[in-house]
Amino acid sequence: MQHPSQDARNTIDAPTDGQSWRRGFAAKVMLATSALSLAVILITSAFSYNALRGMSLKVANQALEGHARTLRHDLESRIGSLGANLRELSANALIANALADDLGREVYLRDFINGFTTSEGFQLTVVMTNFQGKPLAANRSGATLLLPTDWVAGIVDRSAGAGYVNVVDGVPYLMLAEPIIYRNTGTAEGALVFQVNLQEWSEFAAIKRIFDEAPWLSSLNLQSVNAETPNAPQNLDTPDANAVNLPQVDLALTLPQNISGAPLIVHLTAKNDFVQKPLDELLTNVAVMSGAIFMIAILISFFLARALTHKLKRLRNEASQISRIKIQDISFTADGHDEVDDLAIAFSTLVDELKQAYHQLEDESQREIELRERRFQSIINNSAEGIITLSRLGIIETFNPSAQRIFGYAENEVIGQNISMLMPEQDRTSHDGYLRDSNLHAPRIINRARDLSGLRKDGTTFPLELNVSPMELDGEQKFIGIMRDISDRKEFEDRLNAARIEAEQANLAKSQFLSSMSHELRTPLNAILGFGQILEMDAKRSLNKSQTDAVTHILKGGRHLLELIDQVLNLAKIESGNLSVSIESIDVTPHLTDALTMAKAMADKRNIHIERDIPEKGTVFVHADSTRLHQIFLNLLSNAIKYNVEGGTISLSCKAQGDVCRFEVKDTGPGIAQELHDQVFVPFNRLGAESGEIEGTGIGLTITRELINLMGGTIGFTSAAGTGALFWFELPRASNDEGLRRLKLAREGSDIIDSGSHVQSTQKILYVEDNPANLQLMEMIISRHGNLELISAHNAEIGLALAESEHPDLILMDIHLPGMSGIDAIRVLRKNPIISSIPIIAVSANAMPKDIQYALDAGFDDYLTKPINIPAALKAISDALR
Amino acid sequence: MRATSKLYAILSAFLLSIPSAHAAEAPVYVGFDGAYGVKNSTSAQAIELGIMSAIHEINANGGVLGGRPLELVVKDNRSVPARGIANFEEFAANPDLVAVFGGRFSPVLLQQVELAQKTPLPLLNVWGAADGITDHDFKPSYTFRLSLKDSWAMPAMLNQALAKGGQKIGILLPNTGWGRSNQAALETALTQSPTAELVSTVWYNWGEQNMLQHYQSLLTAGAQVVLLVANDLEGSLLVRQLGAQPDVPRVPIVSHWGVTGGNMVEASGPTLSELDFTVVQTFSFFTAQPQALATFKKTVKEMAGVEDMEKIESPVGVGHAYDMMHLLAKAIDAAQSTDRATIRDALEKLGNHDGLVRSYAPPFTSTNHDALSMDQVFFAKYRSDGVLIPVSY
Repeated sequence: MQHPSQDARNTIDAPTDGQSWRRGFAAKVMLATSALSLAVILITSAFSYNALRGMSLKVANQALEGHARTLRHDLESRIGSLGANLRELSANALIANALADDLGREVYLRDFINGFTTSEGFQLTVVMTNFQGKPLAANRSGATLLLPTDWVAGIVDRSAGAGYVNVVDGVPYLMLAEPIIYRNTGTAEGALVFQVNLQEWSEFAAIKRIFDEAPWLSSLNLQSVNAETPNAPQNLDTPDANAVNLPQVDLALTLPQNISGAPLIVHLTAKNDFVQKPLDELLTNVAVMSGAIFMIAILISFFLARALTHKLKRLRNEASQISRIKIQDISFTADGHDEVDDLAIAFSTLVDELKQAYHQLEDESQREIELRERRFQSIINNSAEGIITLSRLGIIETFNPSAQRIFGYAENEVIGQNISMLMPEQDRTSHDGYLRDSNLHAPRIINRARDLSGLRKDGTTFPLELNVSPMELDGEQKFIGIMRDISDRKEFEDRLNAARIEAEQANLAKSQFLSSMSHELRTPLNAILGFGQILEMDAKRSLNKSQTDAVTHILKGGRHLLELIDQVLNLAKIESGNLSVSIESIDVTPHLTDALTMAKAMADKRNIHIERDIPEKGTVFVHADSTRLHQIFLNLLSNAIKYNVEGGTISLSCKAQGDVCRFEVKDTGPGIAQELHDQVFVPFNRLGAESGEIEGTGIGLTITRELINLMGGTIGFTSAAGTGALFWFELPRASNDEGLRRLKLAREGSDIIDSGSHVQSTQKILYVEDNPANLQLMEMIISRHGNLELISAHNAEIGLALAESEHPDLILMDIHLPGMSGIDAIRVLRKNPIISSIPIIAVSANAMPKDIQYALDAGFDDYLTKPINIPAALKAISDALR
Repeated sequence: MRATSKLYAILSAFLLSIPSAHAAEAPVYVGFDGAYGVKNSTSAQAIELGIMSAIHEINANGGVLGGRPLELVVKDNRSVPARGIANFEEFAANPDLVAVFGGRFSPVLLQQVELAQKTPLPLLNVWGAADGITDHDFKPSYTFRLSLKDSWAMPAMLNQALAKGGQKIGILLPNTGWGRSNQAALETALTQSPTAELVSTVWYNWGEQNMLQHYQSLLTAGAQVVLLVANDLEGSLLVRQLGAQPDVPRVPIVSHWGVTGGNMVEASGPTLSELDFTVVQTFSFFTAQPQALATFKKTVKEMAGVEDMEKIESPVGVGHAYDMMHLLAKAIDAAQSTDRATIRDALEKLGNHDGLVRSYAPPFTSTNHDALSMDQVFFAKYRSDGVLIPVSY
C-alpha cells in the first residue's frame, strides 16, 4: 500500500494538463463500470445464447425423434407386410407345383409380384430356390440371390421362414425367405426369397411427403452397420437427452425376431439453419445493441467524470497541502452545490475541528511528558540503589544521588568518565572485556545480580552488588547498572557463617559425646548386667533370698540405665535426623498380638485386665516400619499399664477408617490434668511422676510421637484428671495384597531360625578383648556350654596370630582395641586365605547404627552390642557355628 | 396296411442279411432314384422289388462280368426334380455304378435326361410315361424306357372313353411336364378319333386341395367322360370329394396310371368301387409271361416267402424293373466292362429276351429306346380289395 503523503506529493508534482482526468478515480469508476456492464451483458448473452441454443436443439431433437418414430413405424409396417405377402405367396399351390415343373417359373413369379396389390412400394426381387438354396428362378432376369445358399437351405431344413439384413456396397438389403411346402411329401423342398433394397424407401412418395410437410428436416438415411463392426451404436432406442449438439436422431428398427443380420437404424437430421440461423441473428442483435449501449455509457460517463474529476482534483490539491502548509492555513473551495462541494465544506469544518483538537492534544501531551519525566527523575534520585547508565563503550552518562553517595563522587566528576574508575584495579581488565564482548558475556552478566568490589573516591574498596540490564535508546546499545553497597550484608553473612560452623562443630561434638558416652556407659554396664545375669541364672542354686533380691535390683537398675541410654540415643538420633524408618505394608494384627503378649506379663503383675478390639488377621494393613511399630505399641501399652490403678483396665482397639488405621489405647489411670496437656510430649518431663515409684525415662512418648510422624501418621490423646487417658494414633493404610505377600515371605524366613541351644562337638571360639571383665564374662557364658572352648587374646595382633595357629571355628572381636582396631584386624583376617573363611562376630559397646553398619561393611558376619544380652549372644554364636 | 407293405419290409431285411457268394469280387453297382418320400407311395417299393428279384437271380447265377455281384444303391427323390438331380449326381460320382433306374415321376425324369447325357450315365426308366424321357435330340441317347408312353396311353384312354359311351371328353392335367406330355399326346390322338370331342382341359397343380371343382368345371363344359392324368394323391382326393358330394354327377373316369403308384384304394375310400373308374396298365401278374412268371414266383417265394402275386402292389413297377434289370445284366456282360458308354451301346445290341412283361425281340435298338409298345397297353379296374384286375380278364 502506498504511503498517502507520498501519493499526495506525486500528484502535486505531476503536470496538471487537460488529460489528467483520465487518471482520476471517477474515470476509473466510469471505465470499470462500463467494462463491467459490457462483460455482464456479454456473459449473460453468452449464457442465454447457450441455453437458448441447447433448448432449441432439444426441441428440435424431440421433434426429430417424433418424425423418426413415425418413419420407423412406417418402415416396420412395410417390412411386416412384405413378410405376410411372402408367406401367402410361398403357400400358393402353383409355387409348390413349380418346384416340380421347370417351365414358366419366372412367369409365375413375375405375374404374382405384379398381381400383388401391395408390394409396399419396393421394387421386389423374388427368387425361388431348391431345397439346397440354389436359385431355380427369379422374377427378373439377371437377378442374383444376395443370400448364401446354406442360409436358404437352413430355412428349408427347418421349414421355418426367416429374414436377413445385409449391407451390399453400402446399401441395406432386406431378404425375407419362406420355405415352400411340397404337396406330395408335406416337406419343405424349396424356398421363396424376397430381396428388397431398403434404400428405395426414402424415395417413396409417402416418405417425401413428410419432408414436404416439415421442410426443416434435412436428410433421411437408412443406415445399417454390419454386426461385426465394433462401432455399432449403443442405446439406439433412447437418444441422449443431454446431447444437444447435433440436430439428428438415430432410431433402431424393431424387426421380427426371425430377421437377423445387421441392425437397421433410421437416421434423421435437421437442417442446421433451422436452429442455428435465428440464433445467429439473435447473437448479432445482442452484440450490436450492447456495443451501442456501451458507447453511449462511455460518452455520458466521460462528461460526468471529467467534471467530477476536476472538482475532486481541486479538493485533493487543497487537502494535500496538509503535508506542506500548517494546518491553520488550509481552506477548501466550494463553488457549487453537489456532493463534492458538500465534501469540501465538510472538509473545511473538519479542518477547523482538527485545528482545535490539535492544539488541545499538543498541550496535553506536553504536560504528560513533563509529568512522566519528573516522576522517573524522582524515582532515580530517590532510589536507594545506585543507578548508572553507560554507553556501549562503558562511558558513564547518568549517575544518580545514591550512586554519588555510594562512591563519594559528585555527578559532574564521573559523567563522561569510563566506568572502570569505579572499580579496583584488578577488576578493570575483566570488566572491559565484558563490555567489549557484551554479547559473548551477556548470559553471565546481563540481568544477573553479581557481587563485585567497588572503588570509592577516597580509594577504599567495598563489596558491591551490581545488576546490569541492556537498553536500546535511539538505536544505540546502552546499559543500566543498578548497584548496592552490600558491606553490611556481607558482614552479617560472615557472622552467620561462622555461627553455623560453630553449631555444626558443636553438634558433631554432641554426637561424638553421645556415641562415646554410650560406649563408655555400656562397657561397665556390660559387666554389671552380664555378671548380674550370670548371678541371676545361678540364684536359685547358690544365693540366698537377700542376695537374690540384690541381684534383681542390680539387673533392674542396670536395665533401666541401659534403656535410658538407648532412649537418649534414639532421641538424639531423631533430633539429628539420623533415624531412618523402613516403611512397608504390615498386617497390624500379629504386631498387636505380640505386643499384647509382652504387655500381658506386666499387666498381670498389676492385676490389670486388658480388653482388645483388634481386627482379624490379614484384614488391616498399614504402611509402617515393623520394628518401630512394635516399639510404639509397647510404649503405649506399658504407659497404660504403668500409669494405671492396680486392678484397672486397658482397652486396645484398632479400626480401619478410610485411608487410615486408628489405634487407641485407653487406660483407667488417674488421667492427665488439662493444664499438663501441652507438656505430654516434652522430653524428660514425666508430669510429676518423677517423684513416684513408677519407673520411666520421660522420653517414651516423645520418641513415640517422632516415630509416628516419621511414618506419616499422627498421634494425640484425650484425658482429664481422674478419668484415665486415651492415646490414639493413625497410620496410612496399605493394600492387603502387599501385606499378604510379605506375611508369606516372613513365614518362610521364620522357619530357618532355630533356638540355637544345640551345638554338637567341641568347637573353638577365639575372643579378642582388651577388657578383662568382659573377657571373664564371656568365659563364664561360654563355659556354661560344655562343647564350646574359649581362647582369648587381649589385642588384635595376638588375636590374628592365634587365629592362624589355632584356626578357631568362630572369632568374637571387640572393635575398640589397643593398637590395631577390630576393623583393621578383620580386614587383615579376610585377606589371609588360611583364616579368611572363619565367621567373625563383632562385640562392641558401640551401639550407634552407623557404627554397626560400618563394621558389617568391613566384613563382620554379625554384631553384638554390649552390654551383652546372654541369650541373644548365645543364639548369634550358635548361628555362626552352624 | 396291405400285406405287401409288410412283405417289402421283410424282403429288405432278408436281402441285407444275405451273404454274398461272390464276396471276394468287387460289386457292380446299380442306382435307383425312387420317390420313397411321397405320401402313400408304393411305386418305389415295387420297382425296388423288381430290381432286387432280378439281382437275386443274376447273383445266384454268378453275377456279372464273370463273377462280380450286382448291388443296388437306393436314393429317395421325394418326387422333387431338384432332389432327383442331386441324387443322380451322387450316383454318377460312383465309378462302379453302371446305370440308374428312374422312378415313377416324369417331371423328375425329364429333368434328369440332360444330366444323364452330360455325365454320361444310362438312365433306365421303368415307370415314367412322359414321351420326352426317351424322345429327345441327344445322340447317342443314354435314356432307355421299359414303360408306358403318354403317346400310347392317350389314344388308348380316348378309345376307352369312347367305349364308355362318351364322345365329349374333358381332361384334367397336372401343371407339369407330364401334363404337357399328355396334352400333346391327346391332341395327336384326337386327330385320330374324329368322333371324340375335347370339351374342356383343366390344369391343376400338384397338391391342390379341391379337385372336385375341376371335375365339375369339366362337367359344366359338357364332358361325358373325364380323362384323369394324375397320381394317387390327386386321384384319391377327387374320388373322396366325389364321395362326399352325392349330388355331383358321376361320369366314367378313365385314368392314367399315376394313380396306381400309391395306396389308391385305401386313400379313395368306398366311393372308388362305386365309380366307373378304369386305369391304363401295361403289366399284370394275371397276364404275365408264364415261364418268366414261374421263375419270378420262385424267386419271390425264396426271397420273402410270398406266393400270392395279387398281394404285390403297383405291379407295373415290379414287372418293368424285373425285366429291365435282367436286360442291364445282359448288357454288362455283353459290354464285358462297367464302362457306362459301352454298356449303353450293349443295351442297344441285346438279343431277344423272354421277360416277365413280354418277349423282347430285341428290347432296344439304336433308334428305339422303348422296350414296350402299344400292344402292351390295357385297362384295369380296382377290385374292392385293391387288386388291379385287367378289364378283359
